[in-house]
Amino acid sequence: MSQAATIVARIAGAERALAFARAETLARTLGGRAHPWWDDPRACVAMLVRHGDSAIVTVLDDTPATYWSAAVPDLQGHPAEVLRSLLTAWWAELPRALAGEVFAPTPPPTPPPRTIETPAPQGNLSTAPPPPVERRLSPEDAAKRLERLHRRWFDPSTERGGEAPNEDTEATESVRAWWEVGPDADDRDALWLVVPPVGVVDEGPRALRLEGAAPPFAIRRENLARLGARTLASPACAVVWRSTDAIPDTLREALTPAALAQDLPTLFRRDIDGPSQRAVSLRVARDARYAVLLPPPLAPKVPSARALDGGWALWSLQVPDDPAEALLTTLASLGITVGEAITELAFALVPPARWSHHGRGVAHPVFAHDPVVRVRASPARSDLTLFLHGPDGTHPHPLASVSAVELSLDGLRDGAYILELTARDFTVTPTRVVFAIDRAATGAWPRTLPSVRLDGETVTDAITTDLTALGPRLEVTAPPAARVRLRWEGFSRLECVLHADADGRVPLDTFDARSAPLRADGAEGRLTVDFGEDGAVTLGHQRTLARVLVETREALMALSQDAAMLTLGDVVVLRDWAERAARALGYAPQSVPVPPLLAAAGWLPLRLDDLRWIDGRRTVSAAWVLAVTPPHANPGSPESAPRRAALDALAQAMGASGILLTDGARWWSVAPGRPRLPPVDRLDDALSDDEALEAFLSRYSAWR
Amino acid sequence: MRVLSVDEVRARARALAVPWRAGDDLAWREVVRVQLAAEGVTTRRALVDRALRWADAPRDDEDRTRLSELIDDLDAVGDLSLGDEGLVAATAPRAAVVNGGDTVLLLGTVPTPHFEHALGLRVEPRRVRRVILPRMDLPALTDAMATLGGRVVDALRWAGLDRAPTSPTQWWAELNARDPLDETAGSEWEITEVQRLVVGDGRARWRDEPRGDGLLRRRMDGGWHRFAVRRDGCLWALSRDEATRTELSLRWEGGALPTMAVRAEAGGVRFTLGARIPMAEYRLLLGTADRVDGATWDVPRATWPALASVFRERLGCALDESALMRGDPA
Repeated sequence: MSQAATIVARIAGAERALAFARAETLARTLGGRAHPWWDDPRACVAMLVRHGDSAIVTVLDDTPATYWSAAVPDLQGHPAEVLRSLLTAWWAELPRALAGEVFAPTPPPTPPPRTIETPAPQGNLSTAPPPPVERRLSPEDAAKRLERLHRRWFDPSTERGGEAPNEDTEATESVRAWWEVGPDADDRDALWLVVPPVGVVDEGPRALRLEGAAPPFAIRRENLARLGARTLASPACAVVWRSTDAIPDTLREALTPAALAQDLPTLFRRDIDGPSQRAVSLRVARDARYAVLLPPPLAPKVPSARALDGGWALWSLQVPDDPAEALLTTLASLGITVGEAITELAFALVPPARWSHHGRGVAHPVFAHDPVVRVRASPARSDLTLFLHGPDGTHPHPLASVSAVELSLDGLRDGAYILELTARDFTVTPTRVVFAIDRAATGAWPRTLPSVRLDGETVTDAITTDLTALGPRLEVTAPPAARVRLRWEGFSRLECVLHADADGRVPLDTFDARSAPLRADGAEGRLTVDFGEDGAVTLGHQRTLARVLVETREALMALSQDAAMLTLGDVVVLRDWAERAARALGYAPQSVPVPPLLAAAGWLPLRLDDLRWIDGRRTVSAAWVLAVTPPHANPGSPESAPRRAALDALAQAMGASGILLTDGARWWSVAPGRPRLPPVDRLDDALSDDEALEAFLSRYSAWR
Repeated sequence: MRVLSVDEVRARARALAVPWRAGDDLAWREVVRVQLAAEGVTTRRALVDRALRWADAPRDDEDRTRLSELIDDLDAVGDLSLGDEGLVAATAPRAAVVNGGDTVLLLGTVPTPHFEHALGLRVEPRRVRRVILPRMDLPALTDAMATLGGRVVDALRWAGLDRAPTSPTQWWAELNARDPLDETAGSEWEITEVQRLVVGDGRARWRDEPRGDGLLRRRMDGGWHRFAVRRDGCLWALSRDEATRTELSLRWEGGALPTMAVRAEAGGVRFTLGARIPMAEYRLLLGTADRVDGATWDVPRATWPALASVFRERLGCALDESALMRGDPA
């Protein structure tokens, strides 16, 4: 004869009834009886079925359909001890939850005054299970549970708005990674690996890397301890963390989620308040949405599922109230069953004034007016009760026969509330909503105007400064998602349309990198930050002689050294040198058709453009003709007169004010039509001291 | 806690000026605004989900697509902002005086009852825009908007016509001044899910041919699209609004101009848009015309010539004004 005992110890509250139903089915199959232990709101089902001298131990943990089973060939000692030793090996967390309560040979400590009419079983495995009795939920029982939930949700003493520290039921909970489904960067469903903050870790690896992650994922110890981690993961790859340092077993265990079933689907219940959480069972509710992760053997059964790596697939499942036969068949082929009775509790009619977000990513509505809730039961029921827990304690509100009704929560004072809909037995899953009342609450629309800050100062009027180096000096903020158009106008133009992120910051990195070479080109420019209907801010850019003296000296010194290469007579070398010289002097060099007369002599003319803002308009005009000659040329000789005449013609044709003539070492600034060369300037002399350099640049450069 | 009767539900809905059962687009717009005003910043998908759930509506793909299109429309009006990667954000309350001072447009994610409470006036939701009549004097309007944390904006600045390209040619020049996508980002647009707008034979059609020059679109979960344009081998990412302008520019180049039917209406001109138009021109339309239904608008006869020249010159639209010339009634 076989004998079975079941210990409920770690199924999340909402799924207890479901877990118990599974345990009952399994126990019946094995010839035993399931026996619930209801005290622990976070429980799992562990079951030991004894067959003569051997036994089968099965743990139904909060992983859907993960049955950890093992045959125990040699059953010696008290079954509870056997079960405990096995579970110790299997699941480090479970014994802590069970110790002293269920498996102890002695009866467990007397529980606090019971609020459930039927006493829970004492967990003695050797006794026959008590006959089933109807379980009635008292107001005190609901009040106790709601008070605990309320504290966990709203307690401000916790940094992340989550569970309160040292909370009785939570203190023993160890952190462990989990799976969830959420949108990726393309807003498509994807599988995410989530690691909660692991707390202070003084020792251990300095950084960890997730093997096979795409995109690559690595995290520092400090961040993992404080913030946790969330990264895209492939179901086809085992979760393996690597580090150059040794990873302690406890940490590795905390970072590794429960394995995904390889031959069964994994359900993720969709919730608009956050990412889809992994469901406990393989039973889906009607009128609910799920993401179903299908392993390779099952993926072909759902052609519409989105293919993932390694033959896995993700199916977006909407279960209607009345599923079609085809859907039921598909679900059955996957081992998924559809739930029967449903109750629904949701806000209706009165919109919340705003949503309050917790650090964990969950949110609850804040109402400025009396909220209205919609209660639905299918089929209609007469045993439903609403429990409202808030600043004034817990109040039960039994409902008359309900199929669909709207209820007004009138006259609530400001504060935080939890409302739970439940049946007096456990035949329906309790449903609850969390909300707050704040009569002064207003909407969350943006109240600040866009702004531009340069060097920490808000720019209100048009200013002119040197914008060559920008980077973190410039900060642009705008209402979230606002369009911002950035426009650089110098010798070259660049335009970029950006959006503010959720925090209102406009990411400037790409624009900064792209515009950096343009900002370093020329003496003037203009950066416009256009906020559309909110106006525009213009930053003038000017590089004065005083600001560019050092870098110009370096550029001219390099040119002076390279001038010797001009003797080679190579056109490419000549052009490169000429263009560098033009830029060092603050001009934009432009190629011009070279007259044959000049080409034959090895003279290279370039047009030097200068940029000016005249009456607010960007004006680019030809300032000079730069003519670079071979070092041996003598521009002042009578033989060079025709070449200079050709240069004069070029300058006049393009409207340039004169000609800058150089052989690399000697420089002349020649007005068009003048037959005689002015006194020569030598670059080496100009580089000898600052005064000489400033005099040289004032004659030849665009710098003012 | 008390049970509400159906009449009480309706009465409360009326008091809050919200649709107690969302139905037509007008109601859906309010639902989206109400939800986004409470949320501040969210994603398009979460907003659609929340709106459908709140309105107790079916959550099938058709409804999602419809709501997603309305979100695009609210962005065009300025009642919300669409950012990168599906981000949706509330916009501040603004008022714009248009139509020669006869109309005040109310803009922003602020629910209509909030506006009415702050202004002390009945707000008329007219299909895509909310107006107050008679208009308030400017100081009073400015004060009223300030109570909501908002402001009065310049109507021309709001429309953005001064910053929009003045012709298809100028739009291409503006695009050329922008950063094209690099090779890595560009590879996203080589995949089979991408469709390309093929213009030819006097019409424009979306084809499953991602290769080649033209406007590209990629459908995302949640019923919205991402857009890009490939031209002379360069690829640029586009916003929804820029995609609309690009489509019109391509149709203008390819001789597949959208035709706009125009006819005389009592006291004005009634016309039907042959295609979606860019945001700046759309806002100009909102300020000067009344939407009759779908793509059909009414505009005063005196305003029509200026509007017609905008459609003709800026967007390259072909106007069929023969009925207008004959003075045919609608």
